[in-house]
Amino acid sequence: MISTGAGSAPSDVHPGNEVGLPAPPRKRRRGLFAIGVGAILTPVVFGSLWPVTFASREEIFEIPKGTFARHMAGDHHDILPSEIDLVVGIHNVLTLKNSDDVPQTFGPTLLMPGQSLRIPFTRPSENSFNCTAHTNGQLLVVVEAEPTWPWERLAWRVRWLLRRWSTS
Amino acid sequence: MQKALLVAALVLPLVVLGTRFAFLRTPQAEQGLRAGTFDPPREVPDFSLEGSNGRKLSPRDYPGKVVIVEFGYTNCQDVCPVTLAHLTGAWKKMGSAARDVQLIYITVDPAHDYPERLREHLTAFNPSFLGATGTPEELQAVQKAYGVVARQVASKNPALPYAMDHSSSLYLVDRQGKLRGLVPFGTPVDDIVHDVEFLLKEGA
Repeated sequence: MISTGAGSAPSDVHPGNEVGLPAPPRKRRRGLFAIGVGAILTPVVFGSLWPVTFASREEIFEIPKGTFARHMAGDHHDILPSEIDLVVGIHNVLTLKNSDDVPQTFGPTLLMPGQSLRIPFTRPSENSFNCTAHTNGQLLVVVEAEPTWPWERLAWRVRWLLRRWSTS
Repeated sequence: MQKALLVAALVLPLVVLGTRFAFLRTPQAEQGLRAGTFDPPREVPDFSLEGSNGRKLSPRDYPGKVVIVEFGYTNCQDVCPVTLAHLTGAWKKMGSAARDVQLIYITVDPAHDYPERLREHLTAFNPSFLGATGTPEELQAVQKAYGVVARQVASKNPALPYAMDHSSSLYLVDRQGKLRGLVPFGTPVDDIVHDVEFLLKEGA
């Protein structure tokens, strides 16, 4: 026990810790523990129970003006994502918009300048499309089932965060 | 403590089930095609190929009808038979309405698919199906106009000299001759019927 001075109340330090830093009091430790558990459990509970939502069912994939010209000039840096992820029922419509000056091939079709192709996906699937706007000529569209059980929602959110992290 | 656990054991499953079912969406009323849709729709790319009916064939020969354009070849072992079987099923489901629908099956293998062979192959599925062939140059021009990819690859079947990798979607042309929809491979018969009937009603 360390005394802070004459007449003053003894400080609240852990017995036998006279030479080290004062250990937190038991109440404070409990509080910190509760905060830690809460910090872990809150996102887990929220991520499990809160339904997966999107602002729109539609994912817009726009081929920007000048894409063909850039490729022809030798710029092979892809500014378009190579993978698009959709979820059946809630975010399941891919809209491809060709804003370039030349026709672009997407999958089994030709998109004229200014034209859009709206493709709804109704089943979980992985679809590899030929795409002339990509330097490697491919676009992968991954369609997942809607996560409806809590553990599915949590797993979906973890995958989503990992994808965001890997592409950032 | 035991009481708290008991309450938790009763409440937790209810919360889990509640969140599972409370947010299930009711299917929205369908508007438009189930297939991919072009906006704005463009004129169907025209062609004039040799038809399995012994005449020149063009998608614009069928004003007032819904035309489905498919690319394939008669030696195809996997994709084409499935699609043609689906279309046969769709024709049966449509009944008399199928009179206003025309399938044009354009070969990607002109070396083997003569008009007679196309007729024989397609009649086995449905007598109204029409095949189209032409010179390699003519067919390549048509493929380019539709954005179709077709290339020769080694065949898994030793009885065949080669196979063709080819785009497997169907192209929907409305009664006004506009290219409206793109039906992916494997689309169920009901979805094909839905889209064709939608286009038939729209132009009626």
